[in-house]
Amino acid sequence: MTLDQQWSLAKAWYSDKLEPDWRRATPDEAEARLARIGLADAFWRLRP
Amino acid sequence: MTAPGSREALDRAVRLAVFRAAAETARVPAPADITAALGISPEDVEASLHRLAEERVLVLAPGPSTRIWMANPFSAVPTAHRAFIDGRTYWGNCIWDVLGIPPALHADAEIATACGDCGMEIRLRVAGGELVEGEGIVHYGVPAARWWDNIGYT
Repeated sequence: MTLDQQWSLAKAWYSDKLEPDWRRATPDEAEARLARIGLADAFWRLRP
Repeated sequence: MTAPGSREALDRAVRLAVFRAAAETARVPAPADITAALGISPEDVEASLHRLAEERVLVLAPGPSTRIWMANPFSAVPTAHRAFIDGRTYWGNCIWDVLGIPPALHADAEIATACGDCGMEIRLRVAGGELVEGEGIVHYGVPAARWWDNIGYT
């Protein structure tokens, strides 16, 4: 992936990591984050 | 035996203690540090860390002792992926994680990482919530569905 795509994922994954009410993204949410930046093919699916 | 409701509260307290200490000191705390900070028993801290690892909130080091390896995005051990923020050096587990440290801390950062192919140092800079310097591509060799088969390798 490009560095810009990686940067987008880093922000999406970790911007709220220190918040008291942080919760882990569900697989659907995580796949949606990947799809939003164009990573939607089989390689990027989180479930077999 | 901790009741389920209080177990949830305990895990939340341990999670916040781990991540706040990592953010404030740039070092992931040892279980004894968490025990001291929260005033709870080592057994409760260990059990909580194992539950948090099962939930993939953090990763424990391999082996019989309970030690945190990754409190993502932070690494407990030195790596080539470093974020320099306010005079402190934070270690990330990989390029994804080291890029996640400035957003987690809502801070500007200089980042140094290494090319996975030739080892050459790569410098990046984050300012004002944006990646303002740096170039490169990021290679993933493991399909996403298998990342957690061995997250250390991934």
